[in-house]
Amino acid sequence: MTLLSAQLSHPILLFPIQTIGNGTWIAVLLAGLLAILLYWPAAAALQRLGHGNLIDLARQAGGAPGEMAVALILGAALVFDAGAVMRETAEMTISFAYPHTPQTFAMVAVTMCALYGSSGRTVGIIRLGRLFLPGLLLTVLLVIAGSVGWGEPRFLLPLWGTGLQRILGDQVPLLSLFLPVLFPLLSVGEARDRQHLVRSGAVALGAYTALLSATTVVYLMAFPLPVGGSVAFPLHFMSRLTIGGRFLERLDGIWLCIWAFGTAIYLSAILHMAATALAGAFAFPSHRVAILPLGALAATVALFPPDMGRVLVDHFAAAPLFAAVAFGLPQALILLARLRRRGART
Amino acid sequence: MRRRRLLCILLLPALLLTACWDRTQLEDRYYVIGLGLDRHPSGKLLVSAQLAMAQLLAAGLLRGAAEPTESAVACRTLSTVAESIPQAMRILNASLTRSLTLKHLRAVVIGEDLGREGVEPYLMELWRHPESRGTELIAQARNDYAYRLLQECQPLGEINLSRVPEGYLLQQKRYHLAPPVRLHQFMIRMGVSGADPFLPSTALNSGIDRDPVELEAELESARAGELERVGGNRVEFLGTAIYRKDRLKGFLTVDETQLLLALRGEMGKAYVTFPDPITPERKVTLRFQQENLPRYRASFRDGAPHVNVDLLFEGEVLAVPGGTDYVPPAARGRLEAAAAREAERIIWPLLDKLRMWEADPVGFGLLFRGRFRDRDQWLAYKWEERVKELGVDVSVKMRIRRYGLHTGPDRTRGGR
Repeated sequence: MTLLSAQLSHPILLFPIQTIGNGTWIAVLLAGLLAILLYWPAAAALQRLGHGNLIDLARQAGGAPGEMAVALILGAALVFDAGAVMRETAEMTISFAYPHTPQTFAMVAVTMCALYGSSGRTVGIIRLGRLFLPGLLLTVLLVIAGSVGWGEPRFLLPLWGTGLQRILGDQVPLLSLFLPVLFPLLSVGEARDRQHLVRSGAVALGAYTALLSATTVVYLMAFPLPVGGSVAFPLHFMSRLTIGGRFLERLDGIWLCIWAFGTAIYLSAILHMAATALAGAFAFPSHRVAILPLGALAATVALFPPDMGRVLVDHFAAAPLFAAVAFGLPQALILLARLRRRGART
Repeated sequence: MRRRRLLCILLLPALLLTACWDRTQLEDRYYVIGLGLDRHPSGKLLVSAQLAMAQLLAAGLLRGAAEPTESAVACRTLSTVAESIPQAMRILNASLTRSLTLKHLRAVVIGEDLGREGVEPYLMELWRHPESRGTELIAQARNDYAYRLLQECQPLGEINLSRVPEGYLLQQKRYHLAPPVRLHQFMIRMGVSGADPFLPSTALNSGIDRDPVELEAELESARAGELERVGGNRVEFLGTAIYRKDRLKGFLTVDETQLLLALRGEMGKAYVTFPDPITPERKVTLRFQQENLPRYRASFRDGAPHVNVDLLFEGEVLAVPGGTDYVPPAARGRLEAAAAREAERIIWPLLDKLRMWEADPVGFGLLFRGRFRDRDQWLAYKWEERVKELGVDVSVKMRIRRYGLHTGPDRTRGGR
């Protein structure tokens, strides 16, 4: 839930809002439902697998070459996502808080933290996320509450936005919002109570869907289209509008710290997942071996786009890929593993 | 306890994560509290920055009232001509030893010329600016340049400039003389289809130095700059400036402003003085407020949009110089009907003005948005062109609920 919620401070819905309009919150609800429906069979299959994760499933499905291919696909997708998030974090910091800070410095702090966080064990990230979740949720809920008064519910009409077709048609890129669902799928083998971890994943997906949808509703009320389609960091903009009388304003400075920390946890988990996948497939002694190279790769990806606009466009262009990796790949592996088992039996 | 301590330790590096790189001390800054935007005769932008003189505030920025010996707000106004607001800030910095910042900007004033020409490009500059927050109060100068209003603004008993917008907000909350609007609200209404923005209007009152006996006795509803008063701040906030998208179309009086806010369901407590229905040579004064939010019924009549609005007010009798006892139901009914007629008397010309300006500050268009299948269909309907076809019926009901501290007639003897 922490990993999912940490994404809220990033420009995850900029393009969906541009294309789906007022119907984005409905599209998010549907995508969340779809994500749960796709996650549950994959997680249940992995749970039945015993002490194995997605990479072990890949080995069952395609042998060693399949395992390596899956690890490389996972690693590439996750490193690309980490790079984009790193750059977005730096740009967000520069845009909203410290316009005079050099971009590289803004990236270094969060990258170092992510490298340190990802080199630990899975349980460390889980504990940190659990500790951090109440604060993160509190800030998001306060921002939602503080932004409600700025809008009018009628701004949400027409309810379907640019149409039902668009809502249904844009489900694949929206599924990419649930990329961190790979975390339980890759760490299920390490868990003492696998059933609990799998169930937690489903609950987190449901809760995050509700939270993201509520945030989108309030955002579309406070920033109706066409204005709402051009705000890169909605939650930050909304946080600036939170005023609680004469002595309670400008809270966004505190939120910025909390969200930066949330992003660091997110990046730690993403790099950890990528390293775990590669370590499993290529028989590294430990996932730690891969952390530094992957971090360097992510930082390179982060610095590659020439401007902020390009970062957002590229990140969104890769959304179907993320959706395929998070939901299509596990389903395909389950199917292949089942076919292979059936073939071996006959 | 251990978890809390751990969380605190974990949050410490979060300060570093925000990439705080350098420091700029308070004394290295000049805080722009008010910003004036005008059209310069050359066609460029005339930008005026009202700076808070923090160093002149002995007890810091939080102090509100002036010392008996102090007579002026601690501020200076600088102006320059530029192509844009950031360029103007750069030019203004040339004569300063501290750098200007908009981080504490509290108010933006738009000159009338610029308002009539269109404000979107300039306000977008401000909205895009990393230091602007969108919560700044914004006002429209009437018959004047914004820079003159900033220069002349000397609120009574205030020395701290940042206190002025807050005081203004409090006044509007109590008396609804002009609608308080913030930059963010203005910007979204400027962009959204189905509603138009509006601003509080402000102007210099040139008659405040007269002898009080020279004041005009006719108490008709006034616009900014027209109030009959002597003394106080030369700058007054009164009435509303109506925009059609980003262009200023005209100004409403204070009474029209109250009813505009009532149509929007945002009217707080307002005051109305009108002829006593039983003793017409005298005038009664009521304080009234909306009992419920307005009820709207939107429909299409012969293809044209039509809205029925039901307004329900509750009132309190403040003054009955005619001496009529309005507690008995029959008399109260006559007073309620007269008060409702008075509200309608203001509403109809108000709606005519809005139709003439083809502006929709009430947001009637938003009532129709839900009747369209999707956004494209709604945009194709072109509400902005349909506003002039809009028919509005308003029904006003007034309920007298209170009579002040005396329930009987306004007299101490048997009759006047």
